[in-house]
Amino acid sequence: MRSLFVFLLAGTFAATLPSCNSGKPKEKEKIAIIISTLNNPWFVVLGETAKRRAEELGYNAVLFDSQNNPSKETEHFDNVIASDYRAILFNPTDAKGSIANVKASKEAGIPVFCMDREVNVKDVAVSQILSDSYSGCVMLGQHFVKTLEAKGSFVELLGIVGDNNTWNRSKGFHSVVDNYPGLTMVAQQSGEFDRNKAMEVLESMLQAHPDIKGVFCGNDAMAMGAYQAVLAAGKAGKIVIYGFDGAADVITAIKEGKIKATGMQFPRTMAVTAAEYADRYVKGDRNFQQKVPVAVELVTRENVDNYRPYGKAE
Amino acid sequence: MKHLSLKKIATVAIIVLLAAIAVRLSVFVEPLHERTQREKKGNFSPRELADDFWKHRRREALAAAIELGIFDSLLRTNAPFLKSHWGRTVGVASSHSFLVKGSLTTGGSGSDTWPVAMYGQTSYSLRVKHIFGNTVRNAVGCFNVDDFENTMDFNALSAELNARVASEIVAEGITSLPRSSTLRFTGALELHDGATPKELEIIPLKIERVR
Repeated sequence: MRSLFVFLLAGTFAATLPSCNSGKPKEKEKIAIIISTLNNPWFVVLGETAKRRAEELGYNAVLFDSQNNPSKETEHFDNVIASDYRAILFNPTDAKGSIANVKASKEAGIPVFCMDREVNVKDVAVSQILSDSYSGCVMLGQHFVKTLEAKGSFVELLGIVGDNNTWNRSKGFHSVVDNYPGLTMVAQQSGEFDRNKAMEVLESMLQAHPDIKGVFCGNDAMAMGAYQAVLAAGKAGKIVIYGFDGAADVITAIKEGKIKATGMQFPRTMAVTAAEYADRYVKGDRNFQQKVPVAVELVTRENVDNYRPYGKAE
Repeated sequence: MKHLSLKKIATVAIIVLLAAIAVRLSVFVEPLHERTQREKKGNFSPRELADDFWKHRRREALAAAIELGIFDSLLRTNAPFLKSHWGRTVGVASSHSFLVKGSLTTGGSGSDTWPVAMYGQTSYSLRVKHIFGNTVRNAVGCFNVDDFENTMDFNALSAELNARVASEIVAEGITSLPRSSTLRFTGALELHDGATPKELEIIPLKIERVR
């Protein structure tokens, strides 16, 4: 009886050992890349760079689009958690609303690395790699003040209100501009980081405030929408427009004098860092900075040739 | 007999396991550091944090300042050494923050900055109006971004520190001094990567009238 038991145990053990002669290659481990929206070229660059780097590091990388919808994002997380992924490179839809998804992933043993946007707690994601939006907008604010000679009225188009980037950018900008009593903000509204929405919002603002001198936009998509509205109102060249991101169309628009300046973020740096952190984690490293701010640089007509879309010129 | 023993062992093991599960579920265990963090989270006050630094840690932090002339000399001759020994960065940065000290004679009126010195092609000035940005927070080296729940809180601290500088150093200190006073200052400076700049501004964190 005892011999039979030992034989069965040995047989079971042997059956679980990988066979040297099976000829089947070891399956690549999987990394998920969950992006807030792929409807904005900036996020496409973020997602695809992360995917490419993860694949270079030897993983199967799958890109998920949350379509700016927290419910969709949760579906992606549920899918990923149930499907043996080793890590998640994550661009949240909402700083508070996305916490539950990151927590669930942590509890399932899948490390999460946030890119560009953070979640409002520091003990769920392994690391959060973010642009220093506040400092970038301090620089934009200083340039804005100088351009307008510290006088005139302006409006602000905010991003998505649940995204900390929206408030870091706005507060950075206002930390400078609010010191100058000659500058007056006459309207502030969310354009949701969306070009078409921004155009609609600014069209309304221009009807109520036709004499504004400047528009500060929380991202480049909104800056381009703002430009369309200004053009349609016959005020191109009379209202200065500022954006934030370093997108291709705004880099061109700065060269052409249509947009005054932007803050260049480095989505490729953030994406590559996140992918490499995930690889290190999978290989056993547990020593990560919780927050990794990535510097933003001011791009104006004077220095635009030093930059290309989403980064520095080669 | 052996068969019965195995069955008994299995039964006892199952009972023990179920009992352990019941005990575990009836008790809520929370690590102390998590509880402390949870309580701290709801109580973050950038004003209190800035106050604490200003009253209790500023003097010690400013002791690390480098004399401005030496700063400039190293900037031209050995910038990597300057940055690695005296510079501070946060994250993946394209700038370094420093604490520097020097002297100036008061006199500028109305402008945002007063001239301090000209070394080579670089002019240094002291900011005496409109204090903003993260230079002070980063230069003093007392705050770690990982200690904050989110970057908005980290930046809110900068705003409070800047407010202290604006009210206590600039308004009550510098700009109230008579013209042509000589003062010693210690302040924060941010140096962006790239070519040596033509102008560098220092945000004052301590001043002392010499005459």
